[in-house]
Amino acid sequence: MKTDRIIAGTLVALCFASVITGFIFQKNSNPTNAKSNSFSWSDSSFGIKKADIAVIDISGPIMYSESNGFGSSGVNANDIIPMLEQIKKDKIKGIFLRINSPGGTASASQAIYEKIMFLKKNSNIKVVSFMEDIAASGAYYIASASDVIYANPSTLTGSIGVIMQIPNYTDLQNKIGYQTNTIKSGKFKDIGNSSRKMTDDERTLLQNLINDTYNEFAKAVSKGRKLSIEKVKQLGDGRIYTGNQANDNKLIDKLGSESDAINELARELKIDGEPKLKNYSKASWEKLFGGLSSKSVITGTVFDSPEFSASFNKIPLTLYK
Amino acid sequence: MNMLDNIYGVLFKPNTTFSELSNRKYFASSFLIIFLLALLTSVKDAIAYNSGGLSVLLLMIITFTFYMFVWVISGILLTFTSDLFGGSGKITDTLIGTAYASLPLIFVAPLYILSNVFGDHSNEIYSLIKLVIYLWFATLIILSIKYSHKIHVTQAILSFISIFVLFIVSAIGISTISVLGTIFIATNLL
Repeated sequence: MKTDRIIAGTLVALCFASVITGFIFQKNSNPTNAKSNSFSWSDSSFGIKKADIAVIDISGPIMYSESNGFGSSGVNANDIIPMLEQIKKDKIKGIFLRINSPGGTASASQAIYEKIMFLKKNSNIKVVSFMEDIAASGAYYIASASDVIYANPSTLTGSIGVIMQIPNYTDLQNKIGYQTNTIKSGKFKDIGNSSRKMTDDERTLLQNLINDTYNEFAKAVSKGRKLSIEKVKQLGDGRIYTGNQANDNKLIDKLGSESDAINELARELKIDGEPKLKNYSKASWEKLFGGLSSKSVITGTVFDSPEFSASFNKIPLTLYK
Repeated sequence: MNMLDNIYGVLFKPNTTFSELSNRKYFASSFLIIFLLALLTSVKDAIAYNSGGLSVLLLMIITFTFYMFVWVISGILLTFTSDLFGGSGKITDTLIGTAYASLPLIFVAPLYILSNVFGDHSNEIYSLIKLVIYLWFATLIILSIKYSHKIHVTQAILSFISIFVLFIVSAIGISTISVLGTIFIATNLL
């Protein structure tokens, strides 16, 4: 009986002690408290102190979709844009983008880029990006909105360009005797139909569409990186660069680690000591239960890819990949 | 048995302990448990809240009041639903039982602190452990109903589920009334 009491008492005391300790330490870690600003745990949303830097993970294919569930992969513009709005509401003055993505759809990448540029202009928010394994195409589009881009020497980046791929199954269908009857209201209504060869008019139309989207991409990179449009187009022929090459070509600003990037942002924000980070991409209960829904059963598979989404919806897709 | 024995018992030997708790002697200690739990949760919420100053204090007061309010309201509702399924306990029995059944929730706050110390990668584990704690809590609530109202475990589960049904029915009822009211007013105005 005595042991039971000791165990129960210890458990309760430990719970209270940990929370009170957290509360006190966090209060002490507030930089506004000049006497005691030495304590802080990296990447922690731990306490009363307001976060100095917001962290957003751009990880996986970028696209518009329903809100991502727990355990799902990819970057959903419908999640990222509200996160950016929340950061503005929380009056956080620095955003750290942790990027590891091969790219994604044109509109989703553009929307995130535009939102970041808007926040930089209207709310005076500083943005620093760090590229992990890969930050290509649409991911580079987003990164180019940053004030400073960091990457590892062997990070793969670049791939500035737009691609649309439409398969042609005509020969295969002829072999198996499969035919499609198309009834349409206009000559371009079945553009991208895989059951027939593409016409010259369709090719011209799609090429113009790709060129227009590419020009938008190039203009965005030119504006974000402060490079001439000619220079961006010269570098942006779709090739990929290592971090080293990107640094030589001014596609990124510095080679370094994630902590170098965070420290640079902290310096820009004039934060004394270690900055307090808050990750806005954190898993939440909504995500956990969202992940248990039937939608998320197929996440991370081919069904979740932008290509599948586009072909399923019969939409010609422009991709930054 | 003193309060610490009860706490140990509820966490590790719930069947025996809830059976003893149904003797209705522990209202003061159950109030103390809920009071401390509400305090712990409000401090945790204050830590999670990304701001400072008066708004944190306000958040703590709201969380604390809400916690106490939910304890009383859910106690009343559980007593009502348990009665429907043949229970014989009183509101005080339910309040004592639910207060002690809430004990696993004391682990949520330190778990939150730990998840922040270990960084982003622990978020999913944190969510899963929290889910386990809530399932533990739900199980203890059902056991507390079973013993405090002297009903079968199936009836206890039904009375527990009925609370959610009551909430949903109330929400639908209120929404229907407000929609019908709006239509009625609009029709009359036209």
